[in-house]
Amino acid sequence: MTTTPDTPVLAIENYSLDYHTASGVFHALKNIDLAIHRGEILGLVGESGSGKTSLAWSIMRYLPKNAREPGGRILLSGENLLQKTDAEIEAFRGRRISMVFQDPSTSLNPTLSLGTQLAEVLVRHRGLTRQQAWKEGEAMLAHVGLKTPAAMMNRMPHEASGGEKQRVVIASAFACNPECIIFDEPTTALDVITARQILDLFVELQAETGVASLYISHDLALVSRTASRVAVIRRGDIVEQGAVRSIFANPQQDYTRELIAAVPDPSHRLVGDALATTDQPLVRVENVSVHYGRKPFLAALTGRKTERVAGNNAVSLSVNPGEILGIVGESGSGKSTLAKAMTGLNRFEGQIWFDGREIRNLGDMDNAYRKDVQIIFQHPDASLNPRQKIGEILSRPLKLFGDASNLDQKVGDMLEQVRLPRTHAQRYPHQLSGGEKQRVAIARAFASKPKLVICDEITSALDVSVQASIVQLLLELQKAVAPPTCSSPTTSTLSARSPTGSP
Amino acid sequence: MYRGNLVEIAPAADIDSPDRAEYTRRLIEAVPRAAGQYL
Repeated sequence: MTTTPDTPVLAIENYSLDYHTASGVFHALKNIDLAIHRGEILGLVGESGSGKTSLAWSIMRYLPKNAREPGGRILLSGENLLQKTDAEIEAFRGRRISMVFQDPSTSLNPTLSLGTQLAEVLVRHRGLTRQQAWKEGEAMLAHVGLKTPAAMMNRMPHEASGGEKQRVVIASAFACNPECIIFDEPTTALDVITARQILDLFVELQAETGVASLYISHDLALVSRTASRVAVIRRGDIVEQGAVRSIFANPQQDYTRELIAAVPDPSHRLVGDALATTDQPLVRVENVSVHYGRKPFLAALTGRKTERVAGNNAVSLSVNPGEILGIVGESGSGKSTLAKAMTGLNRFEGQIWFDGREIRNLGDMDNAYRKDVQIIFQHPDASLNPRQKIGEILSRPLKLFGDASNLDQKVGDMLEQVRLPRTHAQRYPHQLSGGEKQRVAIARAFASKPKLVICDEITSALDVSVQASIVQLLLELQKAVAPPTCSSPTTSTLSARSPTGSP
Repeated sequence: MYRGNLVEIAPAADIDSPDRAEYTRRLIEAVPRAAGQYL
């Protein structure tokens, strides 16, 4: 097929995708029309489950066996990918079209060095010898801003940070100078500073190579920063598309307006600026240090020194009754380590004073302390027992810390308090959406009527629109039950005081 | 918080003040702002 300069690099025409499931046919994508030209970045935004990643898989031809394509075409420089054989698609992937995934930890093989994985792409698609590929790989790692490329080639994925791994993945994606690259939420798994660096790298490489890019994200702020055009997808439908400026300045659809309104604006604060003043803080953390890595038995016997990693170094802070204290910092800065120390999940040195009581070690954290100090984790999938129904999960704190009479009634009331239907008590966690699961986790934390609730990045795994409703819910509960909340997410929107660390 | 150390506590309303520690300013700078900011 002949192409002209006006031919889009990637054209999706009237494309539909269905999944055949035990409960019927699910229409994942409906009559999608999109086009991306050379040098262009098209942002694709929508909530979880809207079909963004299904579209990426369709383009990459990585569809599951229950997928059916009732109609449409996907054209790469005029060639219909739907008519290609598996062997032809194999030759396309990596060489003419590539993809950068959300989590670099899962897109890299943990058993192969970073260099081996990068060199493999070059050997396979550019026909280089292994030696040439290794040398070229080093040059590419230097090009994506890794300071010690030769050493990085020899490292295993677990020996690199999230940002370093994502740089390696981006180097692999650009390795064969493809015509089109799909970026599927490439910064979601990274902290803000690393995400910013990766985003800058992407924009720089994109401008340098002119590759047509599809940038998938639920974060409108990021898309408005990177893309030249944007398409909004909802329940498998493209509801609106156009130039970034016109979509954000003059959205035509209610759904687009809702998405834009849900993006947190740091200058808009949800709580008052007045600081709670009291002589008696509810919790006072004094010189709390946490170290990881236990001295091996032999080293202890021989007195040999072993390296211990410090998670927290003599941290001191206090939280007043009714106060919201935000803790901010990059990944690995020790935020969760401190939260775990305060909830008895990490051993610590130093002292914690809680409600007038001195807590010196985990042994002092008795039933009364655990009732009064609750934690909500980042991933509700990991914090809710998948084998228990929601009713069982919510009745546990009542049995442990409260009045276990009339459980069904109380569980129903708790669900209504977090704006979930009472019937959800009969469901399992996997039958709930991410936002619903996090509401259950919040209800569980508030069940024992705690005095302190620690929220460890509780919205970072959720969509922007769901994040807003979870933060609002938390503030309402905080006012109703009045526990202080030690929180790290969306801190400037939430907290009255923010401690941060400095180098 | 930076590498396990806590060296600054400030009112949240004042978190983007130029008087904040260098690391705090870097964090604030990196946070994506409202959707229209980059237009």
